[in-house]
Amino acid sequence: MTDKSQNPDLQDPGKLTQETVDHAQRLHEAETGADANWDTMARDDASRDESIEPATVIDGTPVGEGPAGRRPTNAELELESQRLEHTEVKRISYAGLIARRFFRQKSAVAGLTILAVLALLAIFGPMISPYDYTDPDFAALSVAPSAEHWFGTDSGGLDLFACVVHGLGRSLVIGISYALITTVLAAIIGTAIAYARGIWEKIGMWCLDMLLVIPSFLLVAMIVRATSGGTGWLMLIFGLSAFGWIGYARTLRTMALSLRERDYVKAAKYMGVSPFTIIVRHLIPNLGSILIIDTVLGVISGINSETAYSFLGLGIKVPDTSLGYILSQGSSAMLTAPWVVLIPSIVLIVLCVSMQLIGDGLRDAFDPYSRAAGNVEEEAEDATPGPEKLAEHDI
Amino acid sequence: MSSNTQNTEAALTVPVDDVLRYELLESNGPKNAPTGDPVMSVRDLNVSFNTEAGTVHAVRGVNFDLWGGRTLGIVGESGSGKSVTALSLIGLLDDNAHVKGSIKLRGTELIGLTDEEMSQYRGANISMIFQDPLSALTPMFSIGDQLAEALKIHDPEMSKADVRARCIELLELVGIPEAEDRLDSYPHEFSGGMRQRVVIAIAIANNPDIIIADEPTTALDVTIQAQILDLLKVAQKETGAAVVLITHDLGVVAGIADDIMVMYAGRAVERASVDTLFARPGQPYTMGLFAAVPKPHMPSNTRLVPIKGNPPSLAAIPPGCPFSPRCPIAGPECFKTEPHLEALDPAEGHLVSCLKMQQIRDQHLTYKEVYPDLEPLTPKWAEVPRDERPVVLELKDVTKVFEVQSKGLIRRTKGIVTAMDKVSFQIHEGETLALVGESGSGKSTTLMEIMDLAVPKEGTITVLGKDTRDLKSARERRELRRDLQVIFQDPMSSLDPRMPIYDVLAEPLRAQHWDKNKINRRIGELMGLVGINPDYVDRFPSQFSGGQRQRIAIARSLATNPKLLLLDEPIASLDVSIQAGIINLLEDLQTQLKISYLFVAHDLAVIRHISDTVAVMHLGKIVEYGETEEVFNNPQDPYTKALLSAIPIPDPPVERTRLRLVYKDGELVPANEVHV
Repeated sequence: MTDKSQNPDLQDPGKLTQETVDHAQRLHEAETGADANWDTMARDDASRDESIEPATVIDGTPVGEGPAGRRPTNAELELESQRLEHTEVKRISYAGLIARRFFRQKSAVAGLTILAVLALLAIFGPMISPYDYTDPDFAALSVAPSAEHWFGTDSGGLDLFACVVHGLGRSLVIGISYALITTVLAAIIGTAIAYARGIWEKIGMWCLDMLLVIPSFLLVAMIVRATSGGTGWLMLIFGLSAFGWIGYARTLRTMALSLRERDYVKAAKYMGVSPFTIIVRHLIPNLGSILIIDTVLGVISGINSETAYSFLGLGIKVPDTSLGYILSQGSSAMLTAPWVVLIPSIVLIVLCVSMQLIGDGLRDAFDPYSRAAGNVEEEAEDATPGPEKLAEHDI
Repeated sequence: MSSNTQNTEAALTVPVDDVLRYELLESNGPKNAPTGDPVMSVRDLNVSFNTEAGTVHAVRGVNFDLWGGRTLGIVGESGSGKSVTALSLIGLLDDNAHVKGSIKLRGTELIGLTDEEMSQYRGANISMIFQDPLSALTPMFSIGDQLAEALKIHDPEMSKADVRARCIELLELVGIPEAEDRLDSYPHEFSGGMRQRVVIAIAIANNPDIIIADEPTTALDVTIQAQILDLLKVAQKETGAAVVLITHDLGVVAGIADDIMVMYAGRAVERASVDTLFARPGQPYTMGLFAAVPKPHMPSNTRLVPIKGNPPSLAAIPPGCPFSPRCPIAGPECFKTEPHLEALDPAEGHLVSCLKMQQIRDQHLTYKEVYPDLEPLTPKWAEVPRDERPVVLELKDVTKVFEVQSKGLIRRTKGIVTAMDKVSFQIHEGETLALVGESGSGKSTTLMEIMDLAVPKEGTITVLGKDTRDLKSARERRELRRDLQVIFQDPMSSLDPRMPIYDVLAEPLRAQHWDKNKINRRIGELMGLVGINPDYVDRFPSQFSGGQRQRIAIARSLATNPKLLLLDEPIASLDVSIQAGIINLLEDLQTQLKISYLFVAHDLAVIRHISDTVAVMHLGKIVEYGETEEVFNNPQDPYTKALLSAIPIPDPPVERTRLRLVYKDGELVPANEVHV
């Protein structure tokens, strides 16, 4: 029952969406990730009532008269039956459908709420904070959280609240940029290699494998080390992204391998459509659901990498700060000022968990077999009186 | 008759209700009326699923009984509920299925049993033969192991030697030569037909009471299909089981079934003995099915009669008779009340669900009266004799070989596979050439060679007077592509699910750099041409039914006004009632636009209907090439003869009695003399 309150469309019996139950088709689409068959039409009772009217007209006139008194062609018959079927079709857009399935899951909504709160904190935190993350308060060194310093201060007298909100913003920006850049790179390069076939596919794969062998950790560390504190985070995004897409591109290539055999891709090729257009128009959009999920999860890995680099002193440096940097500073004062480690850790974990919940929710929303479709018992109770009787027949 | 019925009823130990009473009268088939107690009784079966679209009522109030030794054919299109019905008998439905009603196996109620309790009956009492033999066997275990598992799970006491002996016996029974040696083979070492034999062996391993065959031959070639159907009869004779045969192919049920139930939108709409149903179909939908199927054993001089429209969505079944929107004789009452099965002919137990039943019975309506006639088939290009029409496609001695390479660092060529062996044919303007063959015959390779405008190693491909060898620039190729388009088998995968129809149709035009206004006008034109409401341009492919999607695919291929269409099994994945519409559309388009078709198919009935000339391919060679009627009436090559004798014919007495020939090492052998 609880599901229904979140799903107004199911409450309204007039708004039924249409779906074919054909099992083979569902399987087919589930296998290929083409989740098209929920992308369905809704129709009104009103329009169905209307459909009765023209039908009686048919009954009156001799069957099989075409427009000009001759016998109808097949195309005309079909057009006539479409006029009879339903006059108006309302469409739930694919995005709308995914949103509906997403918001039906409590954990996903919780994740999104937490992320929103954290994002707001990162944006507006610096404004409400009485201190700046660069201004030490020498009157308060290593004080515990209090009304003055909400999260306490570290051994240098820096206000931890100011540092955490700034660091949170930094981590978020790095994580999101990293996820977006790697996804775009991986999608284009991965699908292009898959589509290329033959010698170009071999060369592409060889290049990918070579890139994977490069000791990227060291290279990123060197790139970031060479920069100044102010622009270090930009170089960190660059360094992380430059090596982050490779494994991912390999995965996407494998998925695109099955897409490239699809008839619509072949059809486009035979129509004379250019390879780049085919990649952008047919291959990448059909990987859409995977790309979206992996972008969200990519944010987590971006944040984690950033934290790790900064903790080791290879990432964000003073005067800038990030969650990882605060943690590395606080690790030495674990016993004397535990809040310096605990508070940023909690924020980091909450951030990652919220992204994970969103990622899970998205995956279920895109997966036609997940529980996001709602629950059959709740539906059936509506349809038939006496849930006890149902329970007894339920398999 | 009535005294006979009295006797049978007396022999029954189960209570006789209306359903059973009429079923006991179904005597117009090869095995006369059923006698004794039914093995299984299904009453008021309802199955619903919850989906994003709302509750889908897949099966609504279905009743039937099964008798040992008898075959019930359930006929229906995809989404009619026939497969869901079958799966609910064996308790293999999805977790979110909601089953109500009663399924009794020799008096034991099966609905409500847990999965564990149900598994005692599965295999032992009820077994299942699935559609796709390729995925029904586990690739990791030898077939001997898989057979043994089926035996041991229901009889753990069985000794190793007994199991082995029984396995060999079973494999011999299903016609697998050298059974003892093949026990240790793995599924990938078997062909599709052989695997289906193994699946059948597993199904009959425990002498079940009921064998459910869900489209057992749909994935197989026509000659293999004939063998598997024969084998099903053998399996039934051996086990004395009741067989439920689910199919969409009326030809298949004609030869094997005793009773037939036709399903539409989750309900049984007609039920009768096989001969009665084929001779006097009493429901407009059933009549439509017969009218829509091309007859393989007769020349086609009339057009097929399509059923307009599409089956309803099971999530939003309209009020009244679900067939009413498509029914030509539906009256206002048909849109309001849903009919139930009632006796059309009480003496024969012929049940029909139609509000117009009275009218059909009194006026003896057949499909000729019920369905509107279409324009008679206009003779194609009668004014110009064939030889004078230009040749649009010519293949001369085209040979294509695939090299099989060994694995390892140095890839040595191990051998060659000849996919095309000196293939030659030509197509004139406005003509249809059908390329027929079973899987592996090289027909798809031929199609792809033409589509790729490939330069063959041997022989020549000439498209619209241009030899592919002379095509130098990419531009020349692109221009030739405009006149050469392809339609694929599966409209599900030939339309990009993420693109609205407008973009789908605009794609070929954009590739040829048309301007926007011209594209707009052309799209409107195209949609009218194939019978899709032009207002639907903003919809996505998933919002259309299979038939409509194929129409859209046809519209797309017509966009650039091609002169030659290559059709790769264009109707094989469509429902029977939709097929006729697509065939008619293709014929209309040919007469309107003077296009030539190269029609690749395995369905010989369709080919006889649509094509002017036929080329039969076997192992990469064209073994027979000639005028369609000539090839069908007077086939010369033994392979063609075998192929023609294997087509199931939708006429029970004919199908049961005709002689089937099997092609074996270049010779013809009557099927009954081959080991199975």
